[in-house]
Amino acid sequence: MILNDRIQQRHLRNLIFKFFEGLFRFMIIIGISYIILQPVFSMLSTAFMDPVDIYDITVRWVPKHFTLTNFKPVMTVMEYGTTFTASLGLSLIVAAVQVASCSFIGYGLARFRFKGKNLIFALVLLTLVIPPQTIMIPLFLHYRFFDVLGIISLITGKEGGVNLLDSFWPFIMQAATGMGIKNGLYIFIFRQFFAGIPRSFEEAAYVDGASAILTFRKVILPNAVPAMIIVFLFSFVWQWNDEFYSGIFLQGARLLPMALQTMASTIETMAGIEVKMDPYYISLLNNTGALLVVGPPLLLYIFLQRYFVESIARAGIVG
Amino acid sequence: MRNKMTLSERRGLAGWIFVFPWLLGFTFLLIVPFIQSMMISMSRIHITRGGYTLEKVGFGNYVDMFTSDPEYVPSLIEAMVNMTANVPVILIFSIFAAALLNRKFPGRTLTRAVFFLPVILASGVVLRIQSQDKMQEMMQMALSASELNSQQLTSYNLQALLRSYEINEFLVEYIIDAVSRIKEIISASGVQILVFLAALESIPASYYEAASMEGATGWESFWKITFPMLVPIFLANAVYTIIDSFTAFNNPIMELVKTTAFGRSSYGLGSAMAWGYFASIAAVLFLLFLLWGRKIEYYDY
Repeated sequence: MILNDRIQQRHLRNLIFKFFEGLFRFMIIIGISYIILQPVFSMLSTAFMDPVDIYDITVRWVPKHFTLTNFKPVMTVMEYGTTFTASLGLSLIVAAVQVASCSFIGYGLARFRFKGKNLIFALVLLTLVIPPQTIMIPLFLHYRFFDVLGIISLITGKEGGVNLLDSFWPFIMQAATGMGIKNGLYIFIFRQFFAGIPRSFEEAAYVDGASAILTFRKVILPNAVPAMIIVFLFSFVWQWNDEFYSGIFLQGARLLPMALQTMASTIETMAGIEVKMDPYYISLLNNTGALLVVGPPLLLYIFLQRYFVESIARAGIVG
Repeated sequence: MRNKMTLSERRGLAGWIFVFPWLLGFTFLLIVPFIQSMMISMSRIHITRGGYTLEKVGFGNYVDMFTSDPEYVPSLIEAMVNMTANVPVILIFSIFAAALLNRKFPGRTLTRAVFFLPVILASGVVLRIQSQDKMQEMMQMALSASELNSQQLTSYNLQALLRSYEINEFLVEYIIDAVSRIKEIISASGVQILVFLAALESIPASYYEAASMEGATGWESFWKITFPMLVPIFLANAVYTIIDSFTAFNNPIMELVKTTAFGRSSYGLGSAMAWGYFASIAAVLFLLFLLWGRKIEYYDY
């Protein structure tokens, strides 16, 4: 009897402990999630809010008059059609090129033995810690007067090479050679991932006479989908949100971040000098614009998050 | 005749083929610009029709930026202080969040998806717009009971509480500052949480089983197993946090270099500023490795 009592007591204590542990975790998760999601909710709520609702004291989060009227001026001023296409095109191209180049380079570092391999790997990581500010001016000049050993000047007969600024070429070149935004990180992710694939996979291919590149394409890449998805997502999102490189290489062309930056003030200027616009209305416009900018990567994330969330350890971010 | 190379030599050559694109990029898009940047920082640049010419001025730009530029020194100090202040808070927060997400509980997948969301939302423009947004302010006010600035009120309470425990004044200020910037800190910790979580998941469960067989409590196994195994990851995350601050939307050096170089066309001065920044970062990283790198033991797991 006494023994039974004790077991019951312990069981009860465990239950109580579990309950409070769960409650504690729940509260913390709710709190942090609120801080993360609050901007998204407020964007969603204000973007569809009629200007009338701003002055309605009973409206805070859920608008009384759902409307799409905010989108019209915002999309016109941001030239959403063109800027969206430009941003999407650039991000997709860059992400695809970076997945290809970084997996290629990462495979070389993961599987082959040659002199200087460890040095190269160390240098890959070193590229990450050099602030891009340091090389931004020479890079700007490099693409402004682009030339390969004077060959282009020789062909065109003009001095100073070609001007590659305001085109996608600088981005593609940076991406193809593993020098784009945080590419050292992607190479690292791929290297760690490939190192975890059993060697027997490739040995079978080699025995059948496949070359290294064919093996990489046919055997390794199909097994590296989780890593590719993670790198693609990172690469797409960071290119989408990037202002740094696009601010240097695309000074004339407009991408979404720059369009959003100047949108509110443009609308204000268009309204005329004597009209002082309500800051709340400007905020309405800004939130609508912000939703238009973060919307596409957000959708992409919602589709891809299960790969992202469930296969972190398998993707070998940590060796 | 053709195949005089041994198999391993041929394999090695294939390795070079794979890293060749990177070598190209590293040489022409990093090392060369890096050296050029150093040269530009010591010159005055003249843009001509067919390119540009450099006029040597020695350390003139460096002297200028420290003595006559009104913004550089404050900006540099601000950037470095922000960075150093953020690293410990972000590390502590992200290890905490990772430990939370590593436990099994209902709704874990959804919670993880939410916690990594800041990586997606980290758009500089959007963050900038939100930080000065009127509607958001209003919504936050609506949530507080009093229409007074509620955030400061709670901070006061926390401050009083911490003081009553006689905690070091500097630490109190630091904690208060961290709490008031909680949003910024959470939105900067996405990748770090991911990395910690991946590391936590890769610790074999058998270690914990062995420990609990020997009678270790959860607290003990955290400090004796989890923590030691995560030390190298701490360093990696600290470095990542520093890297992440280079292109952060509120990095004052970034704006300054851009306006100096491209706005005022003083490429030389801009380069010198970037080099000053790079030198400070390098010093911080060097210190970090000196203090920390030696103590790390790497485990095979």
